Amino acid sequence: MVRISYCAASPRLPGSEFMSPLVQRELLPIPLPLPPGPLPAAGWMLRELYRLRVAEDPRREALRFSDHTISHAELLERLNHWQERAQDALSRIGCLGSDRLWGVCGGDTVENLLLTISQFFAGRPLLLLPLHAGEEEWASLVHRAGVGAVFTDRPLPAALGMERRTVVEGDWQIWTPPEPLLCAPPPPSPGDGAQQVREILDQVAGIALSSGTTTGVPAIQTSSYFEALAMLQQPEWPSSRRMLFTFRMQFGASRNWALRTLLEGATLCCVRVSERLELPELAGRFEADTLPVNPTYLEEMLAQRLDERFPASLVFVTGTDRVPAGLRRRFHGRFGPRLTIALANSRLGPLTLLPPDQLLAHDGETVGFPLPNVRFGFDPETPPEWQAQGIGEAVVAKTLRVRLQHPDHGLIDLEHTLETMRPGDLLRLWPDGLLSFAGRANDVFLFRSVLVSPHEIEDLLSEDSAVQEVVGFGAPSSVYGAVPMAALRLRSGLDPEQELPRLRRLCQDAMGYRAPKALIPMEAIPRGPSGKPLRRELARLHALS
Amino acid sequence: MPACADPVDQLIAALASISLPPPDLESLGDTLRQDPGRLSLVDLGLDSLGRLETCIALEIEQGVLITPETVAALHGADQLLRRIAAAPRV
Repeated sequence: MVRISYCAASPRLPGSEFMSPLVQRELLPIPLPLPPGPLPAAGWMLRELYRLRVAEDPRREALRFSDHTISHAELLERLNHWQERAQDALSRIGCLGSDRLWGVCGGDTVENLLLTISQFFAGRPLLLLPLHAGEEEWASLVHRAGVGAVFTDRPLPAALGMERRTVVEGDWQIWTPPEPLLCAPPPPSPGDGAQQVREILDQVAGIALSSGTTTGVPAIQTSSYFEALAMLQQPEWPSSRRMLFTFRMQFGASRNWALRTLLEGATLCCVRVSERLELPELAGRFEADTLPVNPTYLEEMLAQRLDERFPASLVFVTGTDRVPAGLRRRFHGRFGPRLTIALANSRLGPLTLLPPDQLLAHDGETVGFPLPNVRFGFDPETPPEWQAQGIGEAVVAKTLRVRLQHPDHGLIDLEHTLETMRPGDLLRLWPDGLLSFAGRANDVFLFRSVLVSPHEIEDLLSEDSAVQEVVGFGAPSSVYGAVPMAALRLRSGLDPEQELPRLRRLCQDAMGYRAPKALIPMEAIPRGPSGKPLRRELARLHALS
Repeated sequence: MPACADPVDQLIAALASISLPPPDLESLGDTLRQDPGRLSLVDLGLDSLGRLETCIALEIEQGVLITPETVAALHGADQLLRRIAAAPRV
């Protein structure tokens, strides 16, 4: 999927001015005008905000899904259609409230996205089920999250304990548990306008499933309408950027992200799961000037010399926690100052931004300056020797603001701080205000009494021309705590018997006794659904006594 | 690295893979075979970090379970070789 924001592209290559407004000043929400009388529902507010954006340029391309292209005006019309069809179906089974969690279980289709957005506007809290999950995974998700009804375009497995109740349109049906539905809407509470809005916006809007790559256990996270509305009122990327955002329907979390991006008024280009994505061509076609990419793709760009196929003015954004220093140096050497980095959290979105001309600051380990509405702290139980170096496990508070203009209540200004979120990163704060990545709190391990970060191993080995891919980890041991090891994939045609002893010596020369004690050649590095290496799985496989 | 059967070969292979291996491993191997009682652990370069790395290498590469604490209580190379021969295997 492609995201392109409204404003025209900057003719200049970015330097320190790139994203600097976001870094330096307060993020202020755009006030949303409300109608007179009772306060509307949260879904209405989101829909209204979107409608106002559509009115600015109704013919702007909204959604490109495979061969379909839909303008924002047409999209709004189709969303209204889906909302009406769903409303009719829900009336037939006597369920019009929004007090239960709804699952959405659909295929790789544009209707899946349209139904989801229409129900978001209808104020129904949603859990978006992953496309290709097995029946057991669906059942587990539905039961763990407490889903009370499901919109689906396919028969649901018996393990869900639901039955078909009615048809919405085409293949889309509503399935619910067999017992009668009780959907009484919550009674209105007394209080002033601000209190009432607060209650309305604090309702759960969506449920997402984190991959659990680092924790080993996928976690269910909820988000509120407050967060959704605040993020739409306070875009976290400069509106001057025309951003190309790639998107596939596969995972619920990415569908949530796409939904939000679309409501910001962007142009989205969905790519079917089975389709190959040609980013350079797409970037050119959409005249984007900013492209989100992951570090793996940065490597591919260097290896395949893709720089010659991308527009010269395009800037690359990686919303990841870590881009190795060696990769930054190579990228900077080939592309110049054209990469910006954001420390990102799946729940909170971007937390920091690093302007491209600071890519190599502090030896190329920084993740940027905190966004103005983000406050970083460090875990007070951080060991003193780390604290002395300015290193600690990050504790983050992100403040979101919603601003509404009501004819009776006047300006309603609300603030919501997501406190004490731990993204699980070890960060270092430099005197100039930049933050560096110092490792994943869950990945760092104690080898005897010495702290080892797998990234130190990876940074060293990934610089070697023989290494295609490397993942460091600590193999658990009852004697040593965890023993440093690395799984690696050598470049094709190289002989492991020759290369591994040389790489082993390279590590020992650079890291001494903290060097990995085993270099394990692999055909493929095990990765989770989000593409992150499964260090825990590697550690489990290579555990010592 | 393939696992060895002989304790001397196992120890030499482990010493070869530590950060600061003792010089001339070949002649060290000869001495270990002929008169291991002549050599102390210091002669093998086994300070505290050396013991740590050697024990890990013995476990990972040779499947020999012996801890740095056990090795620290020994004096001569002959004692170490006997311990290696008697140590449990992974």
